[in-house]
Amino acid sequence: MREYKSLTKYVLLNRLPYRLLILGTSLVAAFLGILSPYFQKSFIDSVMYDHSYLPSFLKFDSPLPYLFLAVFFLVLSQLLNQLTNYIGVKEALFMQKQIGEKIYDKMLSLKLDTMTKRPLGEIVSLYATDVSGATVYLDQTLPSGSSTFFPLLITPFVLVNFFDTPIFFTLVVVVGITVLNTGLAFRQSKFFYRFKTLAAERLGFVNEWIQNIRTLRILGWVEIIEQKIIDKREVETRNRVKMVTNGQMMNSISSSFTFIVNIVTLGLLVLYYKRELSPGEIFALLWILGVFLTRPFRQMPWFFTFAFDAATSIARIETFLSAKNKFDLREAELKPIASKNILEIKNLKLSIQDQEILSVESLKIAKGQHAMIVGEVGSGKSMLLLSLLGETNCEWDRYVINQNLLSKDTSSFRNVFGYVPQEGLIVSTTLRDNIFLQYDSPKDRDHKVTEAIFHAQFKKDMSVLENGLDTEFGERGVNLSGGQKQRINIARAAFDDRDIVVLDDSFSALDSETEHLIFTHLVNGAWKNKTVIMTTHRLNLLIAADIIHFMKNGSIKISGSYSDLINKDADFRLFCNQLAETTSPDFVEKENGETT
Amino acid sequence: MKFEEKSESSNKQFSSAVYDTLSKAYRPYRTALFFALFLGLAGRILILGQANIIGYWVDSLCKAPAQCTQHTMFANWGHNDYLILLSIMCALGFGFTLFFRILFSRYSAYAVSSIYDWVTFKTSRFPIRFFDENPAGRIITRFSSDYGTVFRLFGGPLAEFLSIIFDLVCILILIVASSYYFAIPLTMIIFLNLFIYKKNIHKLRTERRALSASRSPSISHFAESTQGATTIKISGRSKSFRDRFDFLDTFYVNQRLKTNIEIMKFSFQMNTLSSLLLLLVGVMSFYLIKDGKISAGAIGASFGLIVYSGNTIQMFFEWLAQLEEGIIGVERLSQYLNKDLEYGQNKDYLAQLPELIRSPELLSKLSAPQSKTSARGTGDLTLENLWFRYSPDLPWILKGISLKIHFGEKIGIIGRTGSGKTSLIQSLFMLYPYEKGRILINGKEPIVDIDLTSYRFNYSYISQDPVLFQGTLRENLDPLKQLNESELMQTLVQVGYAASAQEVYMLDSRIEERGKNLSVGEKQLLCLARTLLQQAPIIILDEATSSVDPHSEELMVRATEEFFSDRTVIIIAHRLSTLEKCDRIVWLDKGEIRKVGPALQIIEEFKKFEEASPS
Repeated sequence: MREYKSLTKYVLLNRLPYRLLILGTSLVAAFLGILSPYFQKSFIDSVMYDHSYLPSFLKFDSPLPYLFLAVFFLVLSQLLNQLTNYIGVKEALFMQKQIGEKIYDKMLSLKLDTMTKRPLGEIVSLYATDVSGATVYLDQTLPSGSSTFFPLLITPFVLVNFFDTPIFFTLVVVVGITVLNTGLAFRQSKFFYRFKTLAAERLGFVNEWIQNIRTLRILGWVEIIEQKIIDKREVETRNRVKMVTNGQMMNSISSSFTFIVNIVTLGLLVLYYKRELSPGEIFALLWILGVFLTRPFRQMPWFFTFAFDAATSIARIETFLSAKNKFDLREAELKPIASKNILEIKNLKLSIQDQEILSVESLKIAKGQHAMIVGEVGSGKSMLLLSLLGETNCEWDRYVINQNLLSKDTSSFRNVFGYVPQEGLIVSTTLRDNIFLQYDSPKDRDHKVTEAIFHAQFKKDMSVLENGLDTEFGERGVNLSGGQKQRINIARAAFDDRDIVVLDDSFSALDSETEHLIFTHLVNGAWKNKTVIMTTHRLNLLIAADIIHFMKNGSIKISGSYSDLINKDADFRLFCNQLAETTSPDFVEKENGETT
Repeated sequence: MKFEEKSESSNKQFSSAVYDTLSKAYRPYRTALFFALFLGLAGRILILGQANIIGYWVDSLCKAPAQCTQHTMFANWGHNDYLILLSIMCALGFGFTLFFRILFSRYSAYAVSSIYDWVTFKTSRFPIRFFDENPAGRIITRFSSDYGTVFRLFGGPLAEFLSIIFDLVCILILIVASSYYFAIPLTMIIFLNLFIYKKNIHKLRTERRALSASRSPSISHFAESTQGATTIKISGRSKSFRDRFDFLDTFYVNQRLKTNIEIMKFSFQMNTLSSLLLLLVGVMSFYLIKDGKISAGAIGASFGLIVYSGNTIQMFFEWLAQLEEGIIGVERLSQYLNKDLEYGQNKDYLAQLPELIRSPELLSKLSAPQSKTSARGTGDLTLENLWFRYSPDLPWILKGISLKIHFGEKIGIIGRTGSGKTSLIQSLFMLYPYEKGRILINGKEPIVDIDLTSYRFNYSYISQDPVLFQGTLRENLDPLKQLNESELMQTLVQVGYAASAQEVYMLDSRIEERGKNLSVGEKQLLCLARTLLQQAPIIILDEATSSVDPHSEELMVRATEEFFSDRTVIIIAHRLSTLEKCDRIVWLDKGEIRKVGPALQIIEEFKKFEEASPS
């Protein structure tokens, strides 16, 4: 598909024939829409025996044919209008799908540090509201554009033709009303935008209030957050009141304007041009203005309001789509090297917003090694892991994965790693799908899934899941505790069976007994000969590690075995003392299955 | 489930609660609203009546007198007279319409906003059980989409709908005034429209519901993918997720097309009726004028009005379908207005709340309880034969707990999972009402002797999962703005968050939702500072089940020793090492106190017991 620099152009010009079709049918519908009142008037004239205005090309003796023509054209124009709407909606939905997919792809392609400063809610609202906002040009602007502006454009000429009114006068009226409407509509779209922002801000507080209602009661702060919510609500109401005032002004003007124009024109003709008006003329004027202009006037302000709103949606999507990773093509090299190291890194550096987060001179992980990365909060452990996984915009002099030591023939470094994040990812689907981390996964590997569940100590939780592997989680399914989420993520890594497993503080929500069991059965059992890189806060795990990389201020300060580091490094000693003081499990407590 | 809502009823009968809620909301503005309605109707009569005046004007100019009736009232009127009358009608009509629409929409917006406030005040005071049984998402919907729909429809669109009704009334009156024959096709068309509306409305409702049901899966999939993007990419599952997104999005888009087609069908049927009306009225006029039954002016006027009415009737039914959603919204909000409150909530206080919330000074007086100053130093706590369960249909969790805690004591509570440690804390805070026995603080019983808020101010709660709120740092420490900067800074230095009391600027730093821009350690320090500033006589410390960060654990231990030496401290411990410095330890077992005694002795016994019968 062709790439358009501007999303507006992309929305309007993609599938151009269909866009032109919308314009075409809507123009024809607008033209036929004018023919109907034209014949209605002929009918009335003819009923009243006033033949001066009957069309010269179509003369009937009886008024009835005019009536039938009027009804015929009315039905025809309505049909065409519906057709235009249908194509418009279809095209709009087609584009919504395209833009939705673009946003989804972009979202998946952005690295973690490119994503910072973009709250989850903001990205979701791009998809949830801005996508449909962006296609308003197709399902509203194009279809209603013709019926709004076509009558407006020909009215001056019709008036000149019938009444010899000066073209200048009618042009001033048309231009004047357009300017007035544009102004009001612009104001309205501003209020509208503010309305959406304010509602989102209020909902932020509402979320906080409902999620923390227990804490708030304990703190005695219920009234305080209520006040915050009500304050926001009041600002929102004030904006809303301004918005409806402006909107009602638009509506009042548009619903009365034809009558005003009618009186002014009549007055002008009678008082200024001193015309003797015939009954037919008076009716003709009422007709022309009433029928030609009622709809355009009603539509015009909203036409502009929606169009302005669409422009803001498009701008927001464009900004998001223009976000780029600093290094998109940098991936770890997969090549055979003569070494027992499965992974070698030299001079890895990561800066976020001009602040150096990581600066690791060298890191080598031997195949089958269980490496622990430790350090205080904020020392850069997680960022190092994510950088290894290619999820940050980091730079390096050398990052090689040793193809000789990989168990499978792998072409992409994506297939080398298994990863368990601290906050486990659970998606709204079945347990089986969550282990596979894909949708509609096959059932023929259930024995492997069950084995992974057993290794991750999730088996005991299975007893309460009524549908076994088919149990649905999330949205409409079972809610899981933090510990359960982590164990499912561990099961996923066990199931995936990749060459290198990366565990980012993946046991933080587990009780010590469960952690112990996972270590015996999985980490030191099934993964005994697998390469494992992990972060932890548990002293007993450190003692058993093959190698420890101790991090400080974004660098690996020292590496070696536990006894090595204890002897060599004072900082590490201090760190371990703290761990020892606080984390020795005196007695074991079973994890609560469902936490409230 | 008790609190499970009735699913959106598709029957058209709305409960009387809707009526009650709306009348309560609109009551303060009723005089202004009636005035506005009157003006609105008058405005539309003036605007639409112009057609009739023009009809008379035309009759007066008639060239074929046979078809024209001369109206005695306008016997000697010239062009100018008609023009002046029309201008006045037009100007007044426009003014009235504008006035009505603006006045009505504004007051309507204010009125429905007050419903929001009531629901907020009520929901804040529901029993905690309500929050256990209803997922947060479902509760929040009331304040997001339900309120959103009500707020939107009861602002401008309701005024629009009312003007449409005025138009219909005026058209009926004016048509009958000019020629009552046309009342027949008009009534007929109204009934036909009603028929089509009834035929379609069920389908439209079903489609709309299907549309909103198809929306949430794709949005939540999008949200999940955004949250889990890293894991998805590393696992190499981007394609599967992308396919799923494609599937859900297509599903939604197709449903949207289907819904739109239904709406188009509905609208086309109504359109066809308008055309039918045109045909009927045309044929009728032709024969009426042939028989000399009506004048040309009357035909012109009525014809214009009737063609206009076709459009108006259509709009009436289209809006009606939408306003029904608004009424459903009000109904769903009303459900919350009629629920019972937490035990011990003062109804009079709730009634005053709307005014109090609007005046911060009054609020701070009210929510700063008397106990804050008087209770400090006198935090004697007595539990007398306390029986507790989460609901009458569940088993007892606490079975007759009696305990006396003197001010300044450090009490540790131990016991296996399910022994009732957490429930004891819940009932101390009166998050759930206890059924038998009583709690006395300084000899006073909550609800009986002191109100719930004042009672709760006797406690501070520290957990290892610190909760912060979006706002400035100062707001998180001192939301009522009662303390001065130096007090706040001193405390921040004391807990080790600030290096010196000079760093006052940090009070204005921004804390994001759930404090996610801070590390766990920083959050803990701030919560500790908050607890210190609260100066409650009793501190309850809830140790986390799992280890978080060595620092934070150390901090908690230090806090107990350093900062709370002069207060009562109750520690719920999961690791025995934290408890060694306690004055006394309470050993809970199956909801009963198994033993109370000096720390080392009870720990020893507990260890032995655990070894003898591992869980």
